[in-house]
Amino acid sequence: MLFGMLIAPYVFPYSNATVAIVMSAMCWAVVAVVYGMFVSSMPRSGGDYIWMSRTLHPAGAYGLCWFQIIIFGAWTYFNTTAAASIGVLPLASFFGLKGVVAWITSFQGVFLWASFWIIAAYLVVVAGMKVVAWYQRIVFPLLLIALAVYVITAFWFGHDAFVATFNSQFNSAFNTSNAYQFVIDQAPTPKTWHLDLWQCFLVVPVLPVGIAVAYGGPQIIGEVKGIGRLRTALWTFVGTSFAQAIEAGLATAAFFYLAGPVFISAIGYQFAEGTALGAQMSQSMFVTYINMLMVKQPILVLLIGLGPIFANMMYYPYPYLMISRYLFGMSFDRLLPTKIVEVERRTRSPIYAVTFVLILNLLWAFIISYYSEYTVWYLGSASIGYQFLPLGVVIAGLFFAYRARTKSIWEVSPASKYKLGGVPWITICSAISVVFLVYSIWGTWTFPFYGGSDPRSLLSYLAVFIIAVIAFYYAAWYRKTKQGIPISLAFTQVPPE
Amino acid sequence: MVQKFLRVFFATDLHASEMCFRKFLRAPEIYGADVLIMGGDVTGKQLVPIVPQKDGSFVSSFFEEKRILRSENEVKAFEELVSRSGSYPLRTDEDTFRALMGDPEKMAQKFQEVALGTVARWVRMIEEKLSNSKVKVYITGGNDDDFAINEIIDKSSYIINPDCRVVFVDETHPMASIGYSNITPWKLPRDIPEEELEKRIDGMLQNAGDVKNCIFNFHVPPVDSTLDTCMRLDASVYPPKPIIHGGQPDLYGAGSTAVRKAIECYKPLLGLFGHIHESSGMTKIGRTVCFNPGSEYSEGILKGLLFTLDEKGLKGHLFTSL
Repeated sequence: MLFGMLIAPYVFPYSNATVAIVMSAMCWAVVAVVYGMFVSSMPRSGGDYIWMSRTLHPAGAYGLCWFQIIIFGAWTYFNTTAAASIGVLPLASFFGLKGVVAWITSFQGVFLWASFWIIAAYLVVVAGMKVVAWYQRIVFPLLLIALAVYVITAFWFGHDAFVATFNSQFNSAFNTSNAYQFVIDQAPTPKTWHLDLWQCFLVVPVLPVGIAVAYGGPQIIGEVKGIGRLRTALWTFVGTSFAQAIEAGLATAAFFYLAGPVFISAIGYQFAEGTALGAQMSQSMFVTYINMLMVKQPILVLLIGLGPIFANMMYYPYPYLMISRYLFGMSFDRLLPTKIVEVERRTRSPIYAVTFVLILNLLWAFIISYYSEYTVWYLGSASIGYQFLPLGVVIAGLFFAYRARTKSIWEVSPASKYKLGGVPWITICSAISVVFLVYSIWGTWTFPFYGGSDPRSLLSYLAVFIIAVIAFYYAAWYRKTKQGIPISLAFTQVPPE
Repeated sequence: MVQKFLRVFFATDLHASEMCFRKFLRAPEIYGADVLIMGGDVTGKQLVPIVPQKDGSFVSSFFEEKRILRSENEVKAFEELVSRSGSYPLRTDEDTFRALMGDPEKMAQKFQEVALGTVARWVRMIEEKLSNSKVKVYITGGNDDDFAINEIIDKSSYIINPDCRVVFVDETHPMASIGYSNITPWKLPRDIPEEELEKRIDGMLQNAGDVKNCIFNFHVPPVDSTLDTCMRLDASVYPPKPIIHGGQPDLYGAGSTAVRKAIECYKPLLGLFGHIHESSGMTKIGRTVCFNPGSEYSEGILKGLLFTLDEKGLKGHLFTSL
């Protein structure tokens, strides 16, 4: 998101990230419709894995989910560090808490900060879905308040105040009397600006708007009562996809208004090219820190700083929910040990599955904090990697209404009556989603500054996929020969007599 | 080399879903099952009248949606949809329809007539399909089922009704079955108090001998087992409504204390349960592995449990759901 706000306007000079967010949201909303229709047809814990394994191929679904699991194991860590760099660090700098600044920027500080939130999120999820719901019910309004403060102060103080604050902060560092203009002059970007929708469309692949919320729901659907009703399912996925877009869009719009598109494009040049000037501004600090300096009032500053913290806190439980439910579904199909399926009596939480995610999260936190040079081997293409799973789901959506083993399920689904020219809406939305996601993956692959196409990590994904597929067939062999159960029967439709 | 196991397929809470039953019939062929067990709640939930109109069309209502059917093909397709989802389509004229709507007792009688007719037809279909095979078929009633279905099943020379007794599925594994349940808000035919359920279970198992290899085929799951999680209902209104707190349904374990006590006391090999459709899963209570395959009968999805036994006990299991 930060990249989308700052660097994309440089690479695509006449683009506007806010407009791109709106476009991206509309595309992701179509993906969310596919998810919503799947949920209302097959409301099962394990979502993506269940739909792909039943519609397409179980081994492929298993492999695809496993490399996704490993990517998502790092997600909470990244959200905690985003909260730290965009929220905690500027706050600490503003209030002169040098010790906190030093700590939060050290390896140990980052690791401990991330570990604390990883464990806190684990405790929330283990406590059960009621507690998760209460957690979100508390954090979300706080996020809205902080966002409102940020947006309102941005439009209240306005562009001139931003320029003045930026100059006061950086004039001496850049040895100039007008640091704002100095930054613009350093960059080989257009000095005038007009909105070009095509350029905005090119930004779309790098904006992960909607991915998180498209994911947030499906895996827990077995536990969300009423999700089998189509309206509830669509409201959940499409609604929250747009909610995220509105949140991101407002923040971006406010920033574009404050800083101006030409300046942002120039800033993007500095960050994209890794210049000394860019390093002086520090990408993550820059966005909220200048606002804080502009606003000055401590309570408002605190809310501005808390905004990114709350925004990221919303996502802390997601990897636990997503991954544990994948594991739950796989264990149900006897592809993983039975222990994974065990549910704690009081909280009804699949505690072993959630604990696995905790270990994965902490492992990633340790590796990224202390051995970050190795993480490129897996996370270097994460921006592409986490799009493969929804691509698998929408491909499943293309065939869901037609494949012999899922057709009868579709026909009794509440979504089945919605057709256009005799073609089910799930098929139409899936076709559109396939086009969009292929474009998005291609865009992320080819977009050089996003760094989304590290061949080492792509090879790692392939390796994990292949290992998982081998593990699938081993599990199938074991269950059949040692236990007399062909697990292929879990994916076999029984044709009625 | 594949070892020899006894393969058992268990499905429950079919609730008159024609689609689920027709899939159940093919379980021996598709799953290679040696034994079929149909758990309780065999009968459906409602009659769906289809009433002819003066213009030649038919009108009906299904899941609160009015349907106008303009041809015989449409009516047949609608009847199939209704049957598939566990309700009973009933073609009837306007006068009979009004008489049934105005008289709950007549409606109940008609419902029972249709429901028992469906059970009898199912029994015949099982006999025609499987009686020449070596497959053993057991069918019990559940708390939703009228006692009259016992007579229909008992009349069959092929299907075994194991309700409230102990039978042997093979030489090593006895099976104790009971279709009664603890009291529910729905006031159903086989709802009984926990004390009475406990007495019935103890009475059944008194002469069962060594139950360490026993399969408990009890319709209602043990309390607080995670196989019995459902929404708490406000029974002061009819139909009972879910209780919602802060936007979240209040969930609780609706299972039976008597069943849990029996498992803890007798320590059988495994337990097969149903009753709570949305609580599919497995758990262990002491040495007893307990399963509830759940039910999605209204979607025509046959949720079941395939498991294998040998002389040492439970070897493997797999939940099926297509």
